[in-house]
Amino acid sequence: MEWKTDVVAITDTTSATPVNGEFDLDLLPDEIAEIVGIHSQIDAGDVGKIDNVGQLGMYLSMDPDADDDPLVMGKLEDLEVFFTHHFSIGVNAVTAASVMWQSRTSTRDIWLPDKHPLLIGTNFSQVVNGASTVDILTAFMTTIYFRRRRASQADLANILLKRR
Amino acid sequence: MKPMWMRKGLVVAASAANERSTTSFKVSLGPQEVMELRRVTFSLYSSDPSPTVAFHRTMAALSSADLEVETNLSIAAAIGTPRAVFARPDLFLFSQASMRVLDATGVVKGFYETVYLDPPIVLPRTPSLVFYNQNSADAQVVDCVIYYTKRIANRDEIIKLMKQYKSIKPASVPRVIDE
Repeated sequence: MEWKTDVVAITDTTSATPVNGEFDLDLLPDEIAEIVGIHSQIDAGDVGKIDNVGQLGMYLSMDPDADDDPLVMGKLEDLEVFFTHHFSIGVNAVTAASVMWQSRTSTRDIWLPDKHPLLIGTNFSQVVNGASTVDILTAFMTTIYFRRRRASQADLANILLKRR
Repeated sequence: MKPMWMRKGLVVAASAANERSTTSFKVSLGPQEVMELRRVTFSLYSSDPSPTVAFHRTMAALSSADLEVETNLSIAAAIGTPRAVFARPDLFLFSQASMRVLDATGVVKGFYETVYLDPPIVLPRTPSLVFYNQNSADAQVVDCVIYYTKRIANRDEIIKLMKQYKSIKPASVPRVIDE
């Protein structure tokens, strides 16, 4: 089993422009990847002790050039999207005595049954975005665990069909 | 016969901001053995009971790099900022915790994570725990427990596993480390 990590860090979460990070698996033309596990962390940085509301989101898409906004839920219905992770933060600094602590990290991981991995035939993308009152420096860190194998023409055709 | 699960834990502390460390789990592996990593738990927390208004970030990662080939410092320097270095091929699992204490009456809590690896990650050598206390001047602790099984592998598989860690110079065979 191999693994590959992609890290996309964004500093601007107020103008809400999606950022695309591409996973390059170095697949040969007749190779496919069987993804068996995905480990995702969203780590939000600090903006101090000030009011802020933030929504952070990412998705993985079989389209390496995907750039639809992960915060627009309708976009996640695309068949090429195969993993999503969202996280929200709210800070109300004036009630500091009652809001004493907050976590700024969210983790999501999935492991697929060994016999039913997710098949990928090309590079794919991690698309991230944030929407907040004040900019939050945020890192989206995703590791995929996969095996590579030679694919038949039928395998490749099936994968491409899934990509419409 | 089902393989026997074993566990090994490490607790590492950092008392200063920007302090880094790398520690081997020191699991004994025979010359033909590989480790199948099946579960990992991370706990990242402050060991300082007095809360201070501050922002904390701690990071931990598991590395398959060979401590004898790479110095502790070079592996530890692999995590931190910029975080794109987490994409190093030897870093195969990471955890991080960011938290802000908003009020001095608050309590610094921790971040806990369990990762179930099924199918397991096969490693030709014992992993290392890399730890980085980025923001906090408070003492930060990571405790990490790995659950694993061992099995015999043929030489081809071991060589293939070694080659997989592209940036790592392969050792001839996995070495035996004393407990």
